[in-house]
Amino acid sequence: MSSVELQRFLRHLREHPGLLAELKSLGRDAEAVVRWTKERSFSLTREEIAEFFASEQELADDELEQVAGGDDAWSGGPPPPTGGP
Amino acid sequence: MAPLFSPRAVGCLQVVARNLPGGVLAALEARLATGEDAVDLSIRLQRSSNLSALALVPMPEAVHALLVQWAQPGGALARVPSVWLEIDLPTSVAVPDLLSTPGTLLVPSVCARLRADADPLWLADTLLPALTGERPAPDLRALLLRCLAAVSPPARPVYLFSLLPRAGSPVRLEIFGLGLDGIASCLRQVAPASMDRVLAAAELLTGAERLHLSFDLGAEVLPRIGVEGSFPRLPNREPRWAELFDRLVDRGLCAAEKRDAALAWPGYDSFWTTPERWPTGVGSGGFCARALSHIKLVSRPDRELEAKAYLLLERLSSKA
Repeated sequence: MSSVELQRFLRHLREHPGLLAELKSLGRDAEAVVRWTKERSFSLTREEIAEFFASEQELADDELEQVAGGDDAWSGGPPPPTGGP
Repeated sequence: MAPLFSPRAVGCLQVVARNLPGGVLAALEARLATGEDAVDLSIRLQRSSNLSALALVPMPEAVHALLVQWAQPGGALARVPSVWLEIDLPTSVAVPDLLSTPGTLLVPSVCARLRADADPLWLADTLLPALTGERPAPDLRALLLRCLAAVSPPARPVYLFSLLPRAGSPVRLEIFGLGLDGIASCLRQVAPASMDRVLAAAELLTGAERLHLSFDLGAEVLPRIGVEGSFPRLPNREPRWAELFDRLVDRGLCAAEKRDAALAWPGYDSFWTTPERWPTGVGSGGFCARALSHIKLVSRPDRELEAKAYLLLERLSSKA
């Protein structure tokens, strides 16, 4: 995600989050997405669009539970320390 | 963040967090009682963390010296896998920006993660002085060794703290792997006057896994003692989380709305779920993962039992 144009595109989506749902409704039809971005004055390549869509992932409960493992996130060890007052 | 944290508490949190390295595992401490809105922040440092960012943060010299010493490969603290900084945020005043307000000083508690094979003498004679920045008083050293001797395998010490912000800067020892019987046995040896009171608190954690016991060492074991419990699985897959919170609500230790918020905390955000809140400059990949870590009950002889929840946050990269 290092392309200046792609970063500009992401910034636009941040500022107009509703557009993300619209974009996703196009599915992963590269031609349609290219047209959609051009209509909004973005000049993205098909590779950049593929890279963008590839970044959409989900976290499974198992993966979240590894975070909950805290200090030994990958071995289910003790949770973080608690030194508050 | 509401109702776990008030807007004021979140504001304090944001000011402090802005000055700390990103990309680390963080824990938020939430007081569960009604009307308690303070939030404390802990971050885990690993040697791969951006420690140079911390060099700019005004902290006590002992903390900087510890981090420098710890970061040296093969040094005396090479056996410490991670260091936590725990920051108690003020409850009544705004937090000044640390980097732009002259004279401000961030005074964290410093906590070293201990390896399973940590040698008690190394803890007392190498790690403890490094954490506190001074040679321990003979009585404190002897007390630490006595407490370590009271921990029977498979239980083991997992964290050693220097509570720098606290009056008298006591040292905290946290022990992992004790059952209720083990907690009783340990306290009978090092803090017999507190045993019944702490065991009564620990009963509320019945059924919890991963029990911890923590106590503070000054001239003696101090009366403030904590017990913790958690479950490895998320609340949506582990009904005992809700049962534990329900017991706290029934005892008046947890507001019902805070219970609901804590149970709903686990999950994640990403650019794809909340683009408007996703940070700039990190692309559209990755996650901000949230997990429920554990419940802590703090017992003091002169106060009602206090319940806290620890909520984890970590930025995760995109999956391969």
